[in-house]
Amino acid sequence: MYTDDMMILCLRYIVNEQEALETLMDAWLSFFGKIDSFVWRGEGSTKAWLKKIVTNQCLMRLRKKRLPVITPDYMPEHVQSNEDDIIGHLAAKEILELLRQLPDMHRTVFNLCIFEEMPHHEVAALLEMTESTSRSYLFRAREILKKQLLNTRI
Amino acid sequence: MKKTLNSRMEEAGIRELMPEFDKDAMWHQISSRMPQKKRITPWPRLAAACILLVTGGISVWLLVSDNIDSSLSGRVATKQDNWRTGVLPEWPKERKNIIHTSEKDKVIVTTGDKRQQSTNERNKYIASLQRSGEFVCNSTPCPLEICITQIMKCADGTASAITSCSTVDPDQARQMRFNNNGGSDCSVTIDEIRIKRVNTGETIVLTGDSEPSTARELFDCLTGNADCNLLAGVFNNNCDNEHGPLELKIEKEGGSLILE
Repeated sequence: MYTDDMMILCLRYIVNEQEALETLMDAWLSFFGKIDSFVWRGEGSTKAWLKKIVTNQCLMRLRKKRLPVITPDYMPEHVQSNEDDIIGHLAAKEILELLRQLPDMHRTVFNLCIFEEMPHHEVAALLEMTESTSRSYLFRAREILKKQLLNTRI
Repeated sequence: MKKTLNSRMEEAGIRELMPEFDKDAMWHQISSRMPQKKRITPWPRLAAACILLVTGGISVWLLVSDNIDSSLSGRVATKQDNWRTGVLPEWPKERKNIIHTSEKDKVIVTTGDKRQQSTNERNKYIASLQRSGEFVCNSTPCPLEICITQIMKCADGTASAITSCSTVDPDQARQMRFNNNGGSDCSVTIDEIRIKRVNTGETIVLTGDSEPSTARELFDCLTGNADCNLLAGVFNNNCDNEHGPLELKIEKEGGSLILE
């Protein structure tokens, strides 16, 4: 039922499609293994729980690859851009390709902050980094994407 | 940017992003990797079922055996007594299906509920067996066995059938044994008297409403509570199985009861 959505989720985190598929299968096995502890809390709770398991499984796989931690250099307080206009004209496949071109740690922070809508302190705790580092990764990921988007438009 | 990206990705289907994705193949792989659950034998359940079966079986057996005891009161021998040696009978512990007839006297006891009989009742029972009635003379040519069956009912609801048998040889006199009272907690009533010709097995049975005499009437004669001159019953044959019928009368004569 949720297989397609979860596969897309894996593809956002993991560049290699075969690895993403393996991760999804691991996530499903983990889901069935923990099914006894699952408490149904209404519509959407199953998907939310599954999404959490898949995300954790992706992060575990990325950790095994030892994500490179880069010390943040500069981070402006507010970024004004016209990214939305550009993204609005892109297909999902193109967005996914742009995301996959990001370095692993940038892509991971971007996924957690943008798609999972996780606050920086949670992302920082999850990835064992400081909050400012998380902000920095997000900023840099945005910058890289902006450049790529501009290049795509040109 | 956040909303735009999210909506864009949510709208996208897997066919658009990864056309080669084979969902069925993936599920096939997952199912092959799923740990197979071991078939655990439910030993606790089996053990509980066995205990229930055994308990139920024992309960049913006890119930059935109690019913048999009640219906066969007097026929199930539990312990022999030897009055001549003065040995007191032990309280019945097990059932025996054979009634021994070689002894001159014997006591047969069956109980309604063996489990509820207390030591006090046992002692009362034994003490009560020490009573004896008038001397009975057997003036017939055949040995006679006289069995008196009494019912002892106690305050705690238990009931016992006590059968005391005495064999009287021809031209011999013997005191009948019986249970005169059951003590303060128990009452004793006469249930049945059987007079059997030992040689032939022919038996006269006197009960509460038998003709021409009842068990109570004969019992009063045997215990000396009443002066008697009654016809107990009729044997169809003599002890040689050739002559008959012969009446069995009980008369008070010279302080003794006479069978003739």
